[in-house]
Amino acid sequence: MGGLKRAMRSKTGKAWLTKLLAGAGGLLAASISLGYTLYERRQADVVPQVEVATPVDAGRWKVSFAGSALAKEMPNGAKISPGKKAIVVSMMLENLSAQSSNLYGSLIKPTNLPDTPKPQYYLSRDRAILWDLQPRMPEAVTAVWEVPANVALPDVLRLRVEGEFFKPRDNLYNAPGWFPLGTVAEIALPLDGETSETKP
Amino acid sequence: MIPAVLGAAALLAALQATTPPYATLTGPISTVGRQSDTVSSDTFSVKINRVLKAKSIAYKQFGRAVDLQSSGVWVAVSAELQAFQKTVPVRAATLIGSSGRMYRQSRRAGDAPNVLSTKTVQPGLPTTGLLVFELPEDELRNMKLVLSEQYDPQLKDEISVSLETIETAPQARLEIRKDGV
Amino acid sequence: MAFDRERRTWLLSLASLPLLVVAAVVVNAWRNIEDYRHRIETDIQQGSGQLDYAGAAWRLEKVRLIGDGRDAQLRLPGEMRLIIVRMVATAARDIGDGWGQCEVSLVDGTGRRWLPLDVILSSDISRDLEPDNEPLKGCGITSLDPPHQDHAALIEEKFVVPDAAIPTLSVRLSVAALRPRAIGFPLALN
Repeated sequence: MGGLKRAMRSKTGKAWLTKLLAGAGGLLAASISLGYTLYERRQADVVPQVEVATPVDAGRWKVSFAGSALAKEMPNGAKISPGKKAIVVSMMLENLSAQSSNLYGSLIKPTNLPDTPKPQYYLSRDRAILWDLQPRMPEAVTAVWEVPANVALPDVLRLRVEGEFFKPRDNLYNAPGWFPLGTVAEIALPLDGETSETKP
Repeated sequence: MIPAVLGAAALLAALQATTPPYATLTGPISTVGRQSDTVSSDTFSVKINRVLKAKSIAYKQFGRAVDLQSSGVWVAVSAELQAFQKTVPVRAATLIGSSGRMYRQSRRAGDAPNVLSTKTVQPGLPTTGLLVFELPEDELRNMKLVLSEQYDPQLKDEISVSLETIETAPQARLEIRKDGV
Repeated sequence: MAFDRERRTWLLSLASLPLLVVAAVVVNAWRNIEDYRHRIETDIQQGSGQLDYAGAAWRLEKVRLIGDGRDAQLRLPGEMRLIIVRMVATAARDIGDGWGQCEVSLVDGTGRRWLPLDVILSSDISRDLEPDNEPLKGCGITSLDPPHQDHAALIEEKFVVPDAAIPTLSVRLSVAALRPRAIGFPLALN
């Protein structure tokens, strides 16, 4: 009778210990995960400010700005859409990846212009629309944003450069890919008055 | 009992480590060959006629003269394509340079006469055309030309041709006419 | 006795394993098998007059062979010939979207297939050959606005084929809903 009680108590003790260990293990896993997430975010989000003609490494693209202006016509000679103004930013753009690419649409975002769609890029060498950029061949290109004519434009155009990083094997398909990194640089370009051709 | 479990675990680990990634399993069906041969896959074949390099390219489009300069070198490949069983639009052409970087055919010269990207290969009718690329001058050794119906083919044929390195210097200007280069 | 029964059950389970694996593969691949069948044409009904398919009665209206100088005094280089195929479909009922993913191709005796020229090139050729008439639509565009009951539609497709294949050519038409069934008309040229 006493032996039975003792056996039962040790069994209950074992069950209680198992539950405690399971709970502690789960708690430990959750706290490690939380700690790692906090560790990854430990650096304050300070975005470096760059000057004109300073190259910015955005992962897949390297860009260095030359200037910005308001244009009378598109860089390929076409007319601006009626009722709109064209803001033109000229830069040197280089493809840093290992493959020809035309995925520069999300590279530069203006921060002090109202809702702007992706810009249209032009190749200055050809005075025509830009298609793919080849790796290791930097080119002078211009990005054009069209905004409605009645929008008040700031004196200084502020641009954000969005970076990407390369993962040789992603989590889903085990295939290489580029993933967004966030803002890597900001620049303030004085917006010149109306010019018929962008500054080199 | 324990050795059997460990053995099974080792076997499964080996199988998992050697499984090709999804991209390879659903990727191109590759055929490799040399420039001197006609390289044939199941659906189409390629025979390279000439490979030329030049510093600038010139042609006429709608009567207007077009002159294209480059910070690197232009490479023009003249090739004959044949389709075997079905109409094949060969739209994807890439030059892999000596560093392994992939240079897709240039759309800057996309409206030059005779360019293959505008042609569709019909069975029984061999089609000759031009593929135009621009790349840095130091990538011109041990190049490979890769052709397929689309870029990143999935379970479709892809032909890869090793190009012989051209020792001569690039010519200053390459004129593309309707009847050839 | 119990050991025998247990052993028999074990052997039975082992023997049924291959069957179960096959069944599992088939069940999981069923949708892919169905998709594949809807992309191929294996059951082709050939005819010379009129054929019923996809809710309409089809017939071959006109075939033009261009490139040997006889039609339109146009000579094409080498073996290249242009074939223009016109078909008329008289709807027996309202088609609706029953003609989705309509495919027309030319097939020769050895099984080679020629796909039609794209819309832009086809329209350009139509305007060159018959500048006064509106270019006729292909099957894909007609399937977006198919004829109503008892109305007819005229479909035209152009193909570029080698001269050597012409004697054995037949035109083949199929729609996604009815594939692998298709209909075919021999062109009977030369």
